[in-house]
Amino acid sequence: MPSLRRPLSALLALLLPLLAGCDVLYMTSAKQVVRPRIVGIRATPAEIGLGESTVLDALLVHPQGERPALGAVWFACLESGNARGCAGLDFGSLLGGDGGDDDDSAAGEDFDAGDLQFGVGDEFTYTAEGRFIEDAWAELEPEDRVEGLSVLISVNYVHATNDELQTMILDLAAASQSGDQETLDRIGDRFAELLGDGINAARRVVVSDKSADQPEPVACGVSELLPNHNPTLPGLVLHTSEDGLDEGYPMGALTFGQPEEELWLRPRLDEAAREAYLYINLDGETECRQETPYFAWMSNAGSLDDGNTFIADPLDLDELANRAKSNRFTLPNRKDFQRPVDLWIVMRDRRGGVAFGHWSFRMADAPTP
Amino acid sequence: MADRGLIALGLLLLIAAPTAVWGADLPDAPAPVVMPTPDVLDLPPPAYPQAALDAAIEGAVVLLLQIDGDGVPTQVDVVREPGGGLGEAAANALLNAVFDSPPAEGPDHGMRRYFHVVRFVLPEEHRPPVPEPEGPEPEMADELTQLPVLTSQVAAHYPEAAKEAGVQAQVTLELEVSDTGTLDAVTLLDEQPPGWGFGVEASRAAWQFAFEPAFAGPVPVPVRITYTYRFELEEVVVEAPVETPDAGEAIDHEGPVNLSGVVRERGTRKPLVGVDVIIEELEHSTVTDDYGSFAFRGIPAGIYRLLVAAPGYEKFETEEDVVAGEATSVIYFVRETPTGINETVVRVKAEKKEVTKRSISIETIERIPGTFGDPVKVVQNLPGVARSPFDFGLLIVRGSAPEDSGAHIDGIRVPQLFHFGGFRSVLTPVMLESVDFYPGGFGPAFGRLTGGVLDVRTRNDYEDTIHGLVQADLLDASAAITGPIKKKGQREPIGGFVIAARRSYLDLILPLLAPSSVDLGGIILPQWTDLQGKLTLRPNANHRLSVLAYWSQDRAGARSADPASANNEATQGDFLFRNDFWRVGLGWKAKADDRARSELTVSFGQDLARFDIGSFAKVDIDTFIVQIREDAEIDLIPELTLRFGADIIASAFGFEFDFQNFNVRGFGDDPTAEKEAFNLSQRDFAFGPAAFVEGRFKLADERIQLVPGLRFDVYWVPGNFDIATLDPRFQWRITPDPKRLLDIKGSVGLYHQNPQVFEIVEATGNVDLQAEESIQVTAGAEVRFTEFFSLDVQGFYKRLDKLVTFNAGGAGDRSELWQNNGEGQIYGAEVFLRLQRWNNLEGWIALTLQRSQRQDCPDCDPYWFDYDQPVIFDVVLSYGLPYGFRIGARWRYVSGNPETPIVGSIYDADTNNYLPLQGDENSDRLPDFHALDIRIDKDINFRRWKLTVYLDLMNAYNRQNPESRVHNFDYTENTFLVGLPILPNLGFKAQF
Repeated sequence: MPSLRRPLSALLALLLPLLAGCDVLYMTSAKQVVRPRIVGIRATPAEIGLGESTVLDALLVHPQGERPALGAVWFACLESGNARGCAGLDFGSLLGGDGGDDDDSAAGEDFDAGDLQFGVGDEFTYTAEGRFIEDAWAELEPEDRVEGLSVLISVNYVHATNDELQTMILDLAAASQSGDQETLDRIGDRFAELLGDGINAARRVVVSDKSADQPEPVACGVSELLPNHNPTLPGLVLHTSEDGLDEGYPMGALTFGQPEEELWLRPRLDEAAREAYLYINLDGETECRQETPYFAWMSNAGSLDDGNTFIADPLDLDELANRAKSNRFTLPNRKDFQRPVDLWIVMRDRRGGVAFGHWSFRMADAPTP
Repeated sequence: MADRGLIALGLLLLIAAPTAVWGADLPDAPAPVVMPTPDVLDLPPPAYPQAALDAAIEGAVVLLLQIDGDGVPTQVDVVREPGGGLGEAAANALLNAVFDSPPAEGPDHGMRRYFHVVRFVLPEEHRPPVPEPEGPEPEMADELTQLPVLTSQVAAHYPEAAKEAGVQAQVTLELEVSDTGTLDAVTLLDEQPPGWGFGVEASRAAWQFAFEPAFAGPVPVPVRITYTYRFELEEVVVEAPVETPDAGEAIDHEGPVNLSGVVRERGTRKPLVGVDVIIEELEHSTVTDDYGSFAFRGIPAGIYRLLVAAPGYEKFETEEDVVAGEATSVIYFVRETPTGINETVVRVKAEKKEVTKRSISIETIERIPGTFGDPVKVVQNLPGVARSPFDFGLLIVRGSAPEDSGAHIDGIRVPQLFHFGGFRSVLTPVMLESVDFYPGGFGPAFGRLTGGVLDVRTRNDYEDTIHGLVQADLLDASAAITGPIKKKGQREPIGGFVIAARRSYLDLILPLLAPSSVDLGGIILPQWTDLQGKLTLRPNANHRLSVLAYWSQDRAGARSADPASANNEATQGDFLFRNDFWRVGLGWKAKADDRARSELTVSFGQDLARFDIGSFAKVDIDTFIVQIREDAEIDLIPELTLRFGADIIASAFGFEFDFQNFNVRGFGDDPTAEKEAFNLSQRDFAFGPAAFVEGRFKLADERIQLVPGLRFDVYWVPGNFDIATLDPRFQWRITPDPKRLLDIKGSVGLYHQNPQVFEIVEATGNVDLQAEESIQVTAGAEVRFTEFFSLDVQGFYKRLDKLVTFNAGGAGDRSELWQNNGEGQIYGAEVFLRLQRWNNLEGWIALTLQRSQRQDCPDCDPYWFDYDQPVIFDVVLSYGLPYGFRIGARWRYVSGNPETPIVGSIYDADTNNYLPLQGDENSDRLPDFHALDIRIDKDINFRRWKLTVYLDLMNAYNRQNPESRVHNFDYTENTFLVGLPILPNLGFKAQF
């Protein structure tokens, strides 16, 4: 129907934005960094036992220049879905939101400040201890301790320095001891204000005991139940061919490029990138599993084809099996783009393990700032 | 009628005798002219009458035809016939014949006359035995030994105008006389003077001649002769001039039928029933029967003006010449009046017991703008019906949830009435008889619902001939065929049938037509397929049997090119939606006498639904359903009619939730937890018998109607769940005005609705749930200002109790997931201002003002329900234009749906997604919706078929109507997902 093709195409052009999804709605996507935000929280180690500690840090990305001077407040409690710990302390209200599931909130009545751990600074050490987590742990069947409990840890970057925050907390503790309600209210209001305007994020940390059960012998890279480990992200490979089938070059921390230059980048994987592990399922059978990590990409200039990339499937004929897929990064189109262009990658193993990577680019002909 | 002619008889090639011209100028009015008969393109074989077979009659029937410019006969007169009913049989066949189109140049088609011969040959089994010839076969001589002898001559009719003008004429004909003496052909060679109609009359007379054949020796042989017929006034034996009798005079009511015919709709050939056919001069009229036929007896000879008056059709006038001793058979094609919405919404006047029943006839309702030609969709423009997001076809009635209203086909519940996307209903228009809509306050015949009832009635009446329909537009194409079922030898059909099929092709043509820059590979566009048919038999006047079968299929979804290309397992892979259902229904309607009626329907069928939710889960639902419905009425006394019946549903259902990756330990809470395959399934049986009774008291000359009713429902899932409910209902209608222009009406009733299956079975629900409950009160008035202008105002209040609510906190114990904690109230008013065909203008204004509120528990804060639309305003107008055009417009204004604002978000670092923080439930609202739809239809009527071309222009001023709010990844930005832009849908419908 050649005579109908043109009007119908025009009609379809009107219709297709509906069919093609929300990308055409021109809103900021997750791969664009237009304001400071948290894009990952790493716990080292990724999985701990009862009474053990883990150190958490967050990757804060920002649109330009230096990382903004923000202070960080951390909170930790058992995830509310487990109905124990942080009793009724709603995640949303904790972070300054107005909403949350009000019906389930019972803050105050069951709240036990002793169950809450908090800290200030870019790193936070959480120790799996406290009355609630110990009670919840005691209620677990031994075999259930292999998978264990999840502890919810949140971080809130606020417009105050870590020193200011530390001072506020000390003042709060003093006022609490002395019964200085006015100070309590003043600092409480200030905290609420900071948290309300802050940048918040949360993650879970698994508290488990891998020795609580014995797996059946199965053919796998491992022979015992092991806690999860963070993956490693050794670097990026820069390919010169579009199909990414060439060897490529390991990319350094800073790369010079031309305006609108297209770079085909691929995360390098090492031996520990895809951890093999044993899992005892609900039927008591032991399964050999392997992680399927994925990579979230973000940049504060230029453009990325994909926000997430994955490990190539063995059936994917366009890729080499089990290798990380490549992503195209197009540098900004201005020669005089002065500041460095930042590229961040967060690798997740879908079990709580996280690795961060950060690379910078400069225009080769850019004037010296 | 005493014109005399002289006979000139000669041999083949005999030059016609010099003709004398007595004539003068041409007459003031044109006269009929004999033309060569065009080739026959289509001639249904005439039925051989039994009488002729029995009497072993065969031979040629000579017919005089009028044919229009398309080659379709418009009038057929029998000139000569052998008897035995062969003439009538041939005439009937010719009325359905099609000839090659006559040339445009030449006399007006109305003045052209054609002779046509239909030959009947007896089948061998009816042919009398022929004695074997004795002796040797005679040998034919080399030359004619005996000319044909004219044994029977018929005088020609002298054209009236010529007679009055004193014009005489001479007509030369060529006659082919067969070896049996019959005429095989009559050809007009010359006519002097032309233009007065002498040729027609001479030919007509000649065709009735009889000859002894010519002989060549002892052998009869065919010959061709010339014949000159002279019209001479001095030869005329003057009789009293033929005058058209005056009114009422000279009609021989006991005489034979001498003027008969059929009235059909031009284009569709549909016979028009109950149409007046009037002979103006005699002030005599008759009415067409069920087949569109009419007949006059004993009409005196003369020329008459006939009028055909049919409501909804253009006035039809013609002249007929009734000739003494001849029977005139005609067919009239009457053009439908180009009006708009014809009988669109009709409050059933004969039966007003329903307080609010809006019954919609199908006909031209297909032409309402924005419905894409689907009559069922017009329900969405009636008062009380909210607009569903994206016009997806959800039935949202009087502030209820979509699942609270039910769709029925012939009283049998069906899972859906609209295909995915809401563009089409599951039944093609040709299947439909009417659409009954009860927005609330309905009687006890319907139950298990607290919202509205939509009952689509399929047809039981069919045309008397085979009809077909083909329709296509940008969305889909459909075809249908319908026709009567007759017993051999009986004219009266004993039933009929309809078969229809439809398939959408959006999924097929869109990829071909899409711009190359758009990748549709990941989208499975909506597909729908329908197959349906119905057979109706009426073995006698008191019984009607029917079989209705239909099958409907829907497909839609999205396909990920790389199932692993997502960080969230719940959004990986294919998203497919599949929904099939079929029903076979057996119906038996009977009446014992005028006081008792019964309608029994037994239906069985299957519902199949499947959802593929990426690589996360697959859901299969399979239900086999048997439904029995008995609806009986008895007029106990003139003032009381008792209605009672049963409404029984039995189903064997099964569902299976097959999760591929599910956190089975935490029931989905922790995205970092190990996942396993998880299967949740149940197969069970449900039984839902119900009985209802209703008394209809008609008092004070039916100006007071009181209708109390009671419905008893049981819902039983063995081992899981059982409910019994008793619903008293009462409706009333009072007509205080003796002229019956005003009705005051109202209703009050209790309504129950069973929880959804997954809410009550052990695997997924709470077996202790109770039925949802609603008390409904309505009150209103109807005023009929004129025959075509009426107003219906109605207020309503609905109290909702025991609403099933979802308790997310009960995830640890599935029996606590669902509770009867919800409450609600709905109140509002509906105004329906109806203009029924006034100067080709028709339409209505529907205004609904309402509020719908819910509470999830008695102590919870109330909130506006998801589909709370305080103002719904529809204006529908249609105007008939000349030349078969009609234009219609629909303008809608609807309040935006409530929405819950997002007041913030939290980044979940484990899933790399932001979790929204919601504000107060439904405390915000989307912008209002408004849109104008326009439809233009053009009917092109051919004699035997009709073509309708239409352009349905949705959203004519391209309003960007927000249908939903979408946010970016971290909920810091938002925009609206808007509805369809301006959307032209061009299509055609051809029907014969």
